[in-house]
Amino acid sequence: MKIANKSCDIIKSVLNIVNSFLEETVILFSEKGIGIADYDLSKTVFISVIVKKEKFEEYNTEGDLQVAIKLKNIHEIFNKTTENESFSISLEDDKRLLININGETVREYSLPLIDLEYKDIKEPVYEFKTSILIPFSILSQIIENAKLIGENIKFIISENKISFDVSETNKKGFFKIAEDSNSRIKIENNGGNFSSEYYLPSLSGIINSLSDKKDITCKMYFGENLPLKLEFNNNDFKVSFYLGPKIESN
Amino acid sequence: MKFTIDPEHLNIVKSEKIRDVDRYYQSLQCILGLKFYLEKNKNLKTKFIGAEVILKRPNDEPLNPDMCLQIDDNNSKILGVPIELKSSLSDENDVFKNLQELERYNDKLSGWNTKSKYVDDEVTVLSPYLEDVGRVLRVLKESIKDKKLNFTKEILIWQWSLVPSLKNPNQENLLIQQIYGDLTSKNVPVFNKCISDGIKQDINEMQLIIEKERNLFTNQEPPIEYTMMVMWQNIFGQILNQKNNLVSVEEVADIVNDYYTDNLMKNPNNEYKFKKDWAKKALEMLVNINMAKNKGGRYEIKLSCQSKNVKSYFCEKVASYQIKKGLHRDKLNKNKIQSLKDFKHKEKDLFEDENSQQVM
Repeated sequence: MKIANKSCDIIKSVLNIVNSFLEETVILFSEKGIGIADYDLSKTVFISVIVKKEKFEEYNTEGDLQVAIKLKNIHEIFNKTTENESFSISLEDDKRLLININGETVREYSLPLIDLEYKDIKEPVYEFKTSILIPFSILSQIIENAKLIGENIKFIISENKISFDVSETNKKGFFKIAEDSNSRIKIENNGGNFSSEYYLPSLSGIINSLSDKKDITCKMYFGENLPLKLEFNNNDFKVSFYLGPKIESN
Repeated sequence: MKFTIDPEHLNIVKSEKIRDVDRYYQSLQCILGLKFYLEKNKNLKTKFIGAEVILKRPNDEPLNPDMCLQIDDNNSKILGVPIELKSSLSDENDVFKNLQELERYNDKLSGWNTKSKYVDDEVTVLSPYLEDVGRVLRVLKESIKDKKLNFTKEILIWQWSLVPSLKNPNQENLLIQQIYGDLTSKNVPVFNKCISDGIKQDINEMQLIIEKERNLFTNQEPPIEYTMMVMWQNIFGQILNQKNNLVSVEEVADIVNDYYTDNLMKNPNNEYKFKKDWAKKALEMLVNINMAKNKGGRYEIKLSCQSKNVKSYFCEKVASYQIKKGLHRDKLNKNKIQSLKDFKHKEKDLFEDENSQQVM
């Protein structure tokens, strides 16, 4: 297996995102590209990322290869890379991951693989009845401001419009999309009027992990008593997060 | 890009951790204080049998109460008193689960400190911290009324607390008082009056201070931050030197067992001595917060960058790590966030048609 590219940016971005949620994971090197799909340790967040092989100048792998690794190690290496540096990744005797970074200096790293069970790397599919295409900047503004009020945010669908409610014992916050911005939101709803509540620190963690990707589009899928799926897509990679909902108190 | 932690969230988690560490240490003081008090007041004819007694149900299932007393007030019948001490009960569900556990004490139990290993009569005691008493009484009364719980023995609630003395700043009093149930029918009038009026013991009495220094763990697993704190303050100094900053799980466990589990954790079988796993978890956490490195099974400890308030320092570091890694499940439970594992779903390959997620 060998993967190489003239820029480290895509791998760096992806590792920045997954490192916020996962400590160790299995990376899939498939014939179609690189993928990660795993639960965080609390099992309330699931993250899946794919980078298609076309995004790399060199991508050679035979069949599906699973490589288990401590993300911190590889993340630290790519986090130090600069704009004009290239990289290559290969395997040594199926036991170590070799990483070469080439710029004004040539850096060679050899990282041990860890012992994680082979698993089916799949993404969950839920029967969502509602999806919303929303600019990242709008979603980010709502989440960051909702955090000022409480820990859980209610997504409310009423008359095919979305609004957000945060209520704590003594504090309340209500957020909706301004009329002028409504044209930037696209709602598809077959679920009627409903609401579903999610945990703000997890949502905020997701927003923070993507904070340097302001131009990224976000599609949200959710439903009554269903997880929330946040799908972020740009030209380089696709990342999806799934969050467990708050259980209704009644 | 850096993963930012909500400072308010961090403070809440840190405060919870500090409270858990404090409560663990306080429960240790409660056990030592009661033991000391009973040994001093022989007129109560109540023996502190141990914090490590293993009682057995008729089906041989072991029970490990936090403390066991035997009252021999009338010189003819011995009353056995197993006590489940609770330093923290998070909510009413937690209270109910703990009360349900007490139903296991309904049988006649063996393992007492008598020739026959049985006592003549038994009661069951739940001893919650003062702040939790209201919800304990509420849940207990409602559950008995609704027949959700059934106790065949007398159930007693002894509240405990630690209160600084107003008169003497160096004095801190352990107060234990029976606030539910009655021992009148058990014919132990002296002890019954004492516990009904309330036991008061200064836990800063010189002899007790020595006991406290020699007993840093109970059979209950400590909060990880507590173990880290004890290792830092009491143990590393005995192992590490300028040339060698390496410790092993075994070295930590040996020192704790030799020096810091003097009375409470000693039992004939040593079955409940300080567990190596507790040391391992704490050392691994030091690695996670970048204060140690795992070097092939031994741990290289970084003794720099210390705050004077070790408890606060460790609680903040661990809270920050756990929030970042999504490990702080207590917080999620409190907010009733459902695990994704609870949802049935289909699966698709990662690279399958990107539009396969359709709105139904």
